[in-house]
Amino acid sequence: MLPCEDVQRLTEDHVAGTLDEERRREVVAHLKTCAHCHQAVEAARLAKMVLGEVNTPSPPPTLASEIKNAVQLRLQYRPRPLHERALGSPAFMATCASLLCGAIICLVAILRVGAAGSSDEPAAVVVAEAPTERAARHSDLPARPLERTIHPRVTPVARVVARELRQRPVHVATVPRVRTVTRSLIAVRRGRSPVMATAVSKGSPASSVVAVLPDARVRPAVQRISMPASAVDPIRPAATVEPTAMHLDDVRLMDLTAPQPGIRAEFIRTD
Amino acid sequence: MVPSAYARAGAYSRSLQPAAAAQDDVYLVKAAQEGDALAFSALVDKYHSKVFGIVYRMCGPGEAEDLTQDIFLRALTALRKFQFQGESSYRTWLYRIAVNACINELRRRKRRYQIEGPSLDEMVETNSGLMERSIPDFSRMPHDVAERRELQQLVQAVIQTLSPHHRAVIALIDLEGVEYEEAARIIGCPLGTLKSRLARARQAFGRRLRRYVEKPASN
Repeated sequence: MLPCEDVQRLTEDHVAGTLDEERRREVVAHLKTCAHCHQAVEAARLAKMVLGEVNTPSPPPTLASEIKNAVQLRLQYRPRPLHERALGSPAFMATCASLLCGAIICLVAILRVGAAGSSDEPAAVVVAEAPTERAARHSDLPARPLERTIHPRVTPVARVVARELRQRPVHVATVPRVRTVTRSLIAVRRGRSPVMATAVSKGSPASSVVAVLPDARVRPAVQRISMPASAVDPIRPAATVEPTAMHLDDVRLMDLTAPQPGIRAEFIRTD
Repeated sequence: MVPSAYARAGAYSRSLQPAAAAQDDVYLVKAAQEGDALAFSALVDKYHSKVFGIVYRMCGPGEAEDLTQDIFLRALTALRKFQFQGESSYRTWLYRIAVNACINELRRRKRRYQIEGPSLDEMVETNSGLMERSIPDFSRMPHDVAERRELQQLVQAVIQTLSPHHRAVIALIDLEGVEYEEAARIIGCPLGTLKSRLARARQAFGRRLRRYVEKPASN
């Protein structure tokens, strides 16, 4: 005897009367013994009968014309390509003109401020790494000139800056070990030229020393250091550097999280 | 080519042979693909009542007109990509758009129902599926209902309790008379799956219909 699964599979053909005679007998024999399948087939038969009596609903007489009108409208107002729409749009052109004027104004402002900055005494920022407190305790840090604290990986630029540090008053702040970046590069620029760069990394044994050259000529720009305030420790200005070489009377603290006029410094992710 | 398409478009109403109708579709579709609005209008004339029937059965009368119009606009947008492939006719393609649009509409209604809660005009969800809020008249047997021209409403009420896929097979095969093979292509499933689904849909329909008409007898 056929199992229920086969009967269910053959139900449609059985109701439609398209089963061959042998299969039909098997199905009928199963239905005589299986109430569940019998009810299912009867339900399907009832459905087929009732659904066969139902007339297809007629659409409203105006439906076709409404669809055609909608099609006509769609064809008339088919969206043009984006560039055509943009060029033909007064709003787009006005926006472009506004942006162009804004860009020109900004450019002029930047050039003027840059020219003024060259005559002022904005500060450049120098970032270097200093030994940790532990290292400082076990080293000759107080006697060590600042240039020795500059990380050796920050080479040519750092050496230039170190020379400047020996000759000019500096503002120094230290940044303790960085916790929020895994490995970054702090780049400091004077105008467009890099002045100083140093690598900092999470868990680095070295702190960073930030020195400001008040008399450096730099182009004002936006500071982009994103170091959290908790990572900045405006500390030990005089205690960790050699006073004689650095004119540490001029030392002042600097919060790297706040914008510094005339300073441009940025993190560059290297990992 | 286009004038002959119109000539054939006019001929379709006189010639009801399926092969000739399919050939008409070829001309009309090619003309419509070239941007001929009149050719597409001829296709609208030819198929709008069938598409309306599918939408009416699957989604109910409420938004059938709007949804039918939307289906033809979708077809217009997608017409450029349509290609005659083997036995896949324009009608099959159009019906597939209609069935998919109806299924999406039903899903959208279900989501809206879940978010906004029931509306008095919408179905109410029960253990046996979505049911109409209005209480049908159980006091008459199906043949009586048919005599009173209320069989349509009864069938529609029962269909609305089925799942979207069951509605689709019943609307296509039992109500619109689409052949099994074409219905399988429209729905996108093998023929055996379609037959099984149709059998299950009919069983569900029959059981619920019986529940409608036998309930008063048990009271």
